[in-house]
Amino acid sequence: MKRFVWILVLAILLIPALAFAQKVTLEFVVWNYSLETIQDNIAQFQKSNPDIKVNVKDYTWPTYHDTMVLRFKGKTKTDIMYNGEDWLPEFAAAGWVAALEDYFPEVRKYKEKTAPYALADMTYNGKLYGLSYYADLITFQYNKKILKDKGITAPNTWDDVLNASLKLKAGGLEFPICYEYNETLPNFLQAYISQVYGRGGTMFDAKLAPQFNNPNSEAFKQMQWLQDAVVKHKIVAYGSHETKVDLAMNTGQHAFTVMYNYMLAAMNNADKPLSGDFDMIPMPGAKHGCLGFAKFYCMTTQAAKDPARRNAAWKFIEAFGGGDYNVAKRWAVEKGLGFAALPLMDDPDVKKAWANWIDMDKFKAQAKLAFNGTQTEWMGMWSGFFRPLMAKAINGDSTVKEVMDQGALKWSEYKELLGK
Amino acid sequence: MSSKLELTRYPLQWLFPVLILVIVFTIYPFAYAIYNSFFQILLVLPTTPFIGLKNYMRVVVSPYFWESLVNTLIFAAVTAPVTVIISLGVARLLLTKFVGRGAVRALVLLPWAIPGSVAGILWLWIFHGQFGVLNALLYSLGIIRTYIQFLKDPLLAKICVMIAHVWTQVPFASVLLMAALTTINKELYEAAEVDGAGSFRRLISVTIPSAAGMLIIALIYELIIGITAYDVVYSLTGGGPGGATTLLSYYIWKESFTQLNFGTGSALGVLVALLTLALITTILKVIPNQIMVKE
Amino acid sequence: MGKKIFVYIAAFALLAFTVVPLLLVLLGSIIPDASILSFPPRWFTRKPTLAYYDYVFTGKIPTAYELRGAERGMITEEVRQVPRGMGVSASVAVMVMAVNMVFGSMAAYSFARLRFRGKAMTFSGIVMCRLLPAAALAVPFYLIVQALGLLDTKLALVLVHSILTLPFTVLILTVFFRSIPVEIEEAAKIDGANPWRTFWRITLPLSASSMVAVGLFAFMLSYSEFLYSNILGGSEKTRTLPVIMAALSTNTDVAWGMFMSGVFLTLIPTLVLVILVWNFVVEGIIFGGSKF
Repeated sequence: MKRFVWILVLAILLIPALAFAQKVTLEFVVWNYSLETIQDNIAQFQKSNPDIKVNVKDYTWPTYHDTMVLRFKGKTKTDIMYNGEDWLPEFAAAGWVAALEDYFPEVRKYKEKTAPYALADMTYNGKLYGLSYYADLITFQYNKKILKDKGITAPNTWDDVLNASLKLKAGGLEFPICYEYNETLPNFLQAYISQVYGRGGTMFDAKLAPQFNNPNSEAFKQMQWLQDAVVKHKIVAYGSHETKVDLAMNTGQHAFTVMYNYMLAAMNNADKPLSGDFDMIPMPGAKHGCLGFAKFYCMTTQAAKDPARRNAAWKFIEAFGGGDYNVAKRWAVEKGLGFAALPLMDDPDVKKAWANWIDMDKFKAQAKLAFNGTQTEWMGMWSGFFRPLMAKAINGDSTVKEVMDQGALKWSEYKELLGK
Repeated sequence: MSSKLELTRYPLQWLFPVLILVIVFTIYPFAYAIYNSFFQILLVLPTTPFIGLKNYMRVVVSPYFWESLVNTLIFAAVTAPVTVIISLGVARLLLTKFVGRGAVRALVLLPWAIPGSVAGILWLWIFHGQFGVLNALLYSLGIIRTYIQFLKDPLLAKICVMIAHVWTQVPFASVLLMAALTTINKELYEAAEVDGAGSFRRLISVTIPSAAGMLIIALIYELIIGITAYDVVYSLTGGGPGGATTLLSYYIWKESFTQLNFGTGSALGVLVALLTLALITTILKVIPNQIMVKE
Repeated sequence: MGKKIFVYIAAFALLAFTVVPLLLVLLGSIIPDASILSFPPRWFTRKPTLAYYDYVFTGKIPTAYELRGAERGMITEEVRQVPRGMGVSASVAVMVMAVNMVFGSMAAYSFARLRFRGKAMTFSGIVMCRLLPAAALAVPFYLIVQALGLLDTKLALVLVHSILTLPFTVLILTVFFRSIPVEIEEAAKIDGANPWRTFWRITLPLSASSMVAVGLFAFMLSYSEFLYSNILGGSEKTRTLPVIMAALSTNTDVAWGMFMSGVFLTLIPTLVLVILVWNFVVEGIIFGGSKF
C-alpha cells in the first residue's frame, strides 16, 4: 500500500513535468511596432496550439538590426525573428537564419500568392527563407488639396515635379518638397532607389556591376535632380525622420514627398490637422516603377537544428505569415500596413478599411510596377558606406560624379571580397 | 596640507566591490577590444585571420574617420569649456541668497533628467524649420517674415547641436561646482575683500584657484562626454546636413554594426581610447593641479 | 544694489535657458496638434486639453481620433507603458545611486587617505572603462551579461550603469575628501578612531554636499541611459523610460502632444527626488560650509 502511494505521488508529480516537457517554448524577437497587437496575435496562436509557448522579446526599430547582431554573436536563444530584405543575405551568409524551403517544402505553395518583389526579397540563393509580416512600397505622396487649389495637375515626370514646385514656390510655398533626409536610416537610400525605378533605371546590371556612376544612367540623373532641387532651385526642406515629415506636411507648407506608403495612412490619420488632404500618385518618371520591399518571419539555424523547435517554428510562421493570411489582414485593416499576399489585394474588408486614406486600386496599380532592391551579402554594408556620400551629394557638398565614383569603387571592392 | 601617509596593505575592504566590477567590466572588454583589433572579423565571412595592424591602417586612411574626428574634437573643444564656464556662473549664483532660490535650484537640475535622445527632439522642435518654436516666436514678434532653416545650414546646425548639448550638461557641472564652491574657506574671500578686490578679481584670485581641482574634473568629464556624444546630436540632426554634425561615436558604431567589421570597430575603439587618454594626460600636465593620486 | 540687480537678471536668464524648454514640453502636451502645426503659428487659439495624459493613464482615446463611423484613427498603445517605464528607470537609478554613494565613497576614501602599492594602477583601472567608446563595449558587455545569465534583468542594468558612473564618482569624491583638512581627521585618530570610524563619523558628514552631488549624478546618468538599457533589455519588466521614449519618437502613431506628455512624465521622478534632496543639501551646505 505504501509503495502504491509512493508511485501515485511520483506519477502526480511527473505528470505536469511530462506535460511541460511536451510544451515547446519559442523565443520570438520583434521590433516593437504595435506590440499589443503582436501579443494578442500570439495569445490567439497559443490558444490554438496549446503545446507551444511563445516568448516575445522586443527591441526598438532603430536598434533592431544591431541588437540582432549581438544576439547572434552571443548565441542567445532565438527561434523566430522579424527579418528585413536588406538583412537577409548577410544573416544567411553568416549562418544565422535557415531556409524554410529546405525543411518545409510545403512553403512553396505560398510563392504564387506572394507579390513578386516581396518574394524576391525573401529569397536567398534561390531558396525561400520566410513568409511576409508586411510588405510595402516607397511611393510618391502629395497634398492633393494644395495642388487642386493652385490648379496644378499631378506630376508625371520629374520635370513636372520641378515645374510644379517652382510654380508653388512662386505662389508662396517656400519649400514645396519635404524630403526625409537622414543618412543614418536605410530608407534614405531606398527612397532614392525607388525614384530611380520610377525613371525606369536600375542601380546595378544583371551581373551586379554598378550602373549609377554612368552619367547617362537614370540613377545618376536622379541624384543630380535631387541636388539641383536642393541647391539650385531651393525647393526642398529636410525632415529628419518620417514622423517629422508627417508633421511638416501637416503644417500645409509642403506639397510633395517620397516615403513608405504607410505614411500616407499616418498623414491622413484622424488626429492630424490636414487629415484627408494627402494622396499617392505613381512614381514620377518614364516607367512609374517603384521600390517594393518585405519584412518577414524567419527561422534561425539554432531552431532548425532541433526537430521540436523547428516544427513549432514552422507552425508559428505559417500561422502568422501564411495560412488564410488572417494576421496579415489584421495588420492591413487595423494599422494600414501593406502586405505581400496577393489575395488580400482583392479583399473587400481591406479595401474598405483603406478607403479612409488610399484607393486600393492605386496601390494595386503601383504594386504591379514595383521591383525589389538589389540584395547581396554586402548591400547593408555598402548602404552604410554610401548614405553619408549621398547626403553630401544631395546637399551640394560634393559633386554627384565624385559620390557615384566612390560608391561604385566601394561596391566593386565588396563584390570582390564577398561575392562568389 | 598633505601629511606623510604610511604605507598600508592593499585596502581590499575599501575597494572590493568596485574592484570586482572593474575587473569584470573593464579588463575583459579592453582585452577583447585589443585582441580583436588585430584580426579580420567580418561577420559574413567564416574565417577570422590575423592581419596585424591592417585594421588600424584602414581607419587612418578613411576620410570618414578624419571628418568625424575633426567634427567631434571641435564639438568637444567648444562645449566643454562653455559648459564649465556657464556652470561656474550658475553655481556661484545658486549660492547667493535671493528670493525663489530653492525653486530655481530644483528646476535647474531638470534638463539632466531628460534622456539625450528626447532632449535632441525637444531642441529639434525649438529649431525646426517648419513648426519650430524659435521660428514661431520670431515670426509672431515680426522679426522675421519667413522661417529660418536653422538645421539646414551646416554652421547653424553645428551651433544648434552645441546649444542642445550644453543645455543637457549644465545641471551636472553646476551641482559639481556648487559642491566645490561651498568648501572654499570664507576667510579667503574676506581677506581679498579687505585687500580691495572687486567681484571679478575675487573670482580670479580666490574662487578659481580654490576650486581648481573640481573645475578640471568638470572640464575633463565634459570633454569625454563631448567626444562620446551621440544621442542628443543624432536625434536633432541625424548627422546632417551633409555630414556637418556627423560624430565619431556614430562612425565607430557603424563600423561594427553596419559594416559588420568587428576587427576595425575594435581598432577604432582602441584608437579613441588612446586619444582620450592622451587628451586627459595633456590637460593634467599643462594645468598645475592638486589631484595628485600618485604619491 | 547694482549687484542685486545683476544677480536677478542673471538668475532670470539662467532660469529662461533651463526652464523654457521644459515649459515648452508642458505646453506641447496640452496644446492640440492642430495648433502646434499651424502656419502662420497660432498656438493659443484652441482650448488646451488633457486628453493625452488621460490616454496614458486610463486608455481613454482622445476625441480627435474619432472618425466618421465606427472606425477610429491609429493611436499607439506604447505610450501607455510610460508610467511603468518610469518605475523601472527610477528603481534602477536609485540602486545605482546607492552603489555609487556607498562603494564609490569607500573606494575614494582609500585613494584620498591611504597609501598603498598598486594605488595608481587601481585608480587608472577604475577610470579606464570610460575611455572606450560604447561601440567597443557593447559586444563584451553583452557577452558578460549573458554569461552571467542576467540578460533582460534589472540587475544587469544596475551593474552596467554602475561601472559607467563609478569612475567619475570615485574621482570626484577623492578630490573632495582630500580637500578636507587632515587635521580634523587626525584629531579623531588621536581619540583612538580607526580609519573606518573616521570615515563614517567625520569624513562623510563633512562631505554631505558632494555626496549628494555624486548621488544625483549617478541617479541621473542611470535614469537617462539609453544604449545599454536597450541592448540588454527585451521585455516590459526591464524597459526603461529612455528606451520607451526613443521608440515613441520614431513611432508614426504618436501625435506630437502625446510624445510631449510622455516627456513631461519623464521629469516627474526627478523632480520629486530633487525636491526631496535639495532641502537636505541646503541644510548641509549651510552647516558644512561654516565648519571651515
